[in-house]
Parts: sequence; C-alpha cells; structure tokens
Amino acid sequence: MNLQRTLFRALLALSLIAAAGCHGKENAPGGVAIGAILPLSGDNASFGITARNAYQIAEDDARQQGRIPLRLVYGDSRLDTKEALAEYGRLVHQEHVAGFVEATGSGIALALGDLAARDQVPILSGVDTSPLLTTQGGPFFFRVVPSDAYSGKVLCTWAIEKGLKSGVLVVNQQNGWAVGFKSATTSAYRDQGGAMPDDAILSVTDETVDFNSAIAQLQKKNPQAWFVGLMGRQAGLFVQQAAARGIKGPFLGVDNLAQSEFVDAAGAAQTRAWLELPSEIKSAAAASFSAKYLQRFQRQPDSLAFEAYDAYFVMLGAVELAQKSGQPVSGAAIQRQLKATDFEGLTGRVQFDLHNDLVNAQYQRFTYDGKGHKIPVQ
Amino acid sequence: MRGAYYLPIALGFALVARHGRYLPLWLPECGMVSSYTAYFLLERADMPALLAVVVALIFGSACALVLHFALFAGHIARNEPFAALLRSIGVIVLLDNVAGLLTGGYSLAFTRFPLPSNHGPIVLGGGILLTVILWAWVNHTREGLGYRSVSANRELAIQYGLQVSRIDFLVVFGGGLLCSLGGLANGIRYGLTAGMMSTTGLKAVAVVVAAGQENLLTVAIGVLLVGILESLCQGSIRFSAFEPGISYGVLAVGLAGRYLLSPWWVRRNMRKRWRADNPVPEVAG
Repeated sequence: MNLQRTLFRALLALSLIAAAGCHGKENAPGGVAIGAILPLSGDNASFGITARNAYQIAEDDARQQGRIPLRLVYGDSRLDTKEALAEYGRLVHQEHVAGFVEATGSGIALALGDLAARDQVPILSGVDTSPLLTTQGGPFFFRVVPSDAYSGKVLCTWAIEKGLKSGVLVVNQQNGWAVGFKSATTSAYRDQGGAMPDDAILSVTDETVDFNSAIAQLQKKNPQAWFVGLMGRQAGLFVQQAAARGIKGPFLGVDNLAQSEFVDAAGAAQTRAWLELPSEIKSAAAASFSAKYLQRFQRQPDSLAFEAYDAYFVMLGAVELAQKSGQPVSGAAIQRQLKATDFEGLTGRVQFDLHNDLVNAQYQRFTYDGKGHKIPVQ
Repeated sequence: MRGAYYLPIALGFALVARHGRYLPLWLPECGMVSSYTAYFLLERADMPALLAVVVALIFGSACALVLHFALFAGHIARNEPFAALLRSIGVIVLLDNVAGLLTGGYSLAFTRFPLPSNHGPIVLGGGILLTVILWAWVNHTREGLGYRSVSANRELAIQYGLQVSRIDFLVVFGGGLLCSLGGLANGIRYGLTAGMMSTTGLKAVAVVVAAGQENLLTVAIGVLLVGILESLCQGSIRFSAFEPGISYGVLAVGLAGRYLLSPWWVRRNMRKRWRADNPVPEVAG
C-alpha cells in the first residue's frame, strides 16, 4: 500500500512538473510585459514551441544589441478558443501585459479582436492568415504575415499558369485558418478560370488521420491540382496517402506545407508538394538566425520561426518608441507606434496598411528535394 | 481497413475491462508508450526494425503491468470502478504530457520502418486472427475458464483456490500487449503525437461499452463496422464532417439496442426454458 502511495505521489509530482513545463509563464524580468498566447501543449504544440524558440533567440539578440528585451508572459491555448480566451483574461487582467506578440490561430484572433479593441491591447501575429481578419480583426490586430486572400490568389495564379485548371480541395473544417484558406482559394481559383465545383471540396475534422475515402472521392473529379487546407501532420498524411494511391499531385499549399511535421509525415511524397511562401530574405541576419536556431534546438527553423522573430522585433520597436515619447507605455501607445512600423526583418520589409495587414508581401515558389529541404522553383 | 487499426486496442480493452469490472481508459495509452519507444529505438538509436518492435511491445506491456499493479489493482480488489476511472484520466493526462515534453510538442513519423505497400490486408487479417485466438482462449481453454471465473466473481474464485494473481498478470500483460500492438500499428501508419491514443482509445471504448466487454466477437465486428462507417462518411461530401461522431453513434445505437432488446431476449429464453421443462403432452387421436 505504501509502495502504491509513493508511486502515485511520484507520478503526481511528475505530472505537476509536466504541467509546469507546458505552462511556462515568464521569461525575462525587467522589460515591458508582453503576452504570447500559443499552443504549448496538445496536438498543435509545435506551433507554439517554434514561436517560443524564435522569441528566445530574439531576446538574446536584443540583449546583444544593448536593448532591453520584452518580458514575455506565455499563455497556453492548446489552439482552443475557450482556453485562449481564458489565457487572454489572465494575461491582460492579472499579468497586465501591454500587448501580445502572438495569438496563434486565426479563429482565436477573430475571437480576441473585439476584446483587444475594448481593452486597447494590440495583438501582433506572425501566424494568423485568415482573410476574415482584414475586416474583422479590429483596429488592434496586426500581422507580419500576408493574408491568405493574397497568398491564395498567388497560389492559384501559379496553378493556372501551369495549366492546372481543374482543382479539388480538402479542408479541415474545425480549423479557423483552413476555413479562411478555403474561401480565399476557391474564390481566387474560380476568378482566374479554374474549375472547382462545390462537390470538389471535402471537409474533414481535427481527428482525421486516414484520408483514403476522401482521396477516392476527390479522385473521381480527375483533378489536375490538389489544394490542401490541412495543417502540418494532417497535410503530410494526406499527401502521403494520396501518393500511395498513385496520385502525382501537385499538392498545393502555403506555409501549412512548410512545417517540419508535414515533411516528416509526407515522407518521400513531399516532392509532390508545391508551396507558395513569403520570400525568405537571403540576408546575413536570416542566415545567422537559421544557424542559431539549428544549433540551439537541433531543428531547421521553418517559416513560422522567421515570422515570430520578426513579430518580436516589430513589437520591441513599437514599445521602445512608445517609451521614447515620454508617455506611459500603454497598449494604445504601442498600437499607434505599430501603425507607423517600417521595419526591415528576416522576411522582408514590414509595413502595415489601413487594415493593419502586411503591405508589399513578396512570395516565392518552392517544392521539396525529398530530403526535407525546400528548393525554389520558377 | 481503418477499423483493423482499432481492433487490437478494443480487444485488449475488453479483456481487461471484463476482468477488472471497470473501464481501463488508461490501457490504450500503453500503445502510445510502445509507439514512442519503437520510434526512439528505431529512428534515434538505429536499432534493427524487428528488434525495436519486439522491445517496444514488451516495454508497452510491462508499462501496463506496472501501472495496473501500482495504481489500479487496489481499486479492483475493493471493487471501486469510479475511483479507477478517475485515476485512469490522471494517468492519461500524465503520459500525454510526458510524451509532449519529450518531443517538444512535435508530432513524429517513422521514416525507417519498412511498411509494405499492401499492409492493409495484413493488418486486417492479423486483427481477425487475433480475435479468433483470443476468443478461443477465453472460451475454450482452462486459463480462459479461470479468467471468466475471476471476471464473474473474484471473491468466489479466490475461495475456490484459483491463482487469481497469475490470471491478473496474464490478462493485464495480454491486454497491454494488444494495446501496444494497436498503438504501434497506428503510430507506424499515422505518425506519433502526444495524445495519439486518446481518440482511438475512446472509439474502442465506445464500441466495447456498446457491444459488451464479454462479447469479443461482437466487439471485433463493432470496431470494423466503425471503420467502415467512418470511411463511408468521409467519402461523402455532405456527411464527411460527421466522421468523428460515428463511434459515438455506434455507442448510442448499441446501448439503446441492448437495453431495448435485452428484455425480449430474456423473455424468449425464459419461454424456451419453460417449454423445455414443460413439454406439451401429446393428445391421443
């Protein structure tokens, strides 16, 4: 009995340690408190962990530049809107953060938009690409990543240019980003002369891992282009299972196909993916960031890491300018400075338009070499 | 085919559930333990595939034994199914968090496992074979009789001198092995994530509850049916979004069916027995 009790206590202690690990709160004391609502546990934890890794490098770089790093306070959303709302309340009302450097998930950002405007707390994102955020994100939502309204158009242009005029789409209907991707892609593809009838769009859910029936159904449409509105692992499994049925693709996507989990799950079928991504600036800073990331975390950074790094420095710049103005650093002051942002980041120049969307987004076309490395294509 | 991936988990779960007279929700997690073990042995330690699989299966089963005797055996002895259920949930949360921490939250995929292209029929055939073997063991062997006796009345089985602890060991090891096998098959086919067995495990649980843990063949048919229905649902443009609800639909229909039909079965069997005991005398012409 004693042994059982001891074992149970040990397991309980371990679980508390695990929970604490997934719910890291504060990072660096001293700077202005800025929140980050990320999925740090659950099925989508890789998003949050990648962003957190990038922030850690950004903090070190800020210190090296003689700047005071932001005091990041994390909230774990598990990519769930209810959890995110609870974390938002905790960070704003208990931790008194002046802004957010991330609120991962377009659905979450849409839910937080009105609250952020009410509380005058700016939210900056390097992940949320839903076109709905342009009109419904509110005046306090900014993003350093282009809207899918734009990336979807660019992706469809690529498909049409290559003569792929009949397309199908698989989409995770439970994912806010995927729903935005669906609306952006279908309208852009149809506008450019592509054929994608409503029965060529098939919805799946978060839990789907076996896509064989969906693939068989979509295959009946004899598509030339397969648009993939699934994230990381799911997208990889879809492409891998389609390839196993002899489908050559191409499978088109945006940064959802740039996740390392896509590469792992797709395996050899990764070469059939076509990705349209914001240009990776081949600057010394980007190369240095990649090297630091690889050395510290034993993984190549994906596009999410670059965007997170840029988001951190855009927020830091806005906070510093708000401090210099002599006024107390409030969310409203940071928002005013964010509006005037003109920052040269790892992913290019960051400026915001009237809707706080990124202007002048540059895109590049990629596929994979079969070993997980992206290779540019014309 | 996808039902075949649920099959070993459902069988293992049914075996242990009947034995302990509770819902061992934690048991499918041994599949995750086994799957991650195989991944690290194969992909990180460069162990040969067959050896990695065998070690992972043994480790998963051993994990089941340790968890059972450390956390659940007491509840079973004291007939506390709800306490065991709550503890099961705690174990699931713990194991999922540990897996998440070990992998930095990233999902993983086997890259070095030589999965044959026609693995579907192999998994299905293997699952059916497992079902038949397990059914035969439970219903037509001496150990199976002991298992059924302990499941029916543990106290009485102890009084009759059955080696209950040996049966406990065999059943939990067997259940753990089946769940490890199912978890490994799922991991190889669909990749590994922390919490990978939660959904699959719940589907198996739904079927076992609906079919009844004592009916192994019905459980097997039930999980295969869930797989078929999920595939049909996903292949329909209109109904594809309802795919995750299939197992819960099967649970609802199964439970309703059992409750509605059971009085009918009872009445029919009683009538049969009464007629057998009271034959109608032949009337002489």
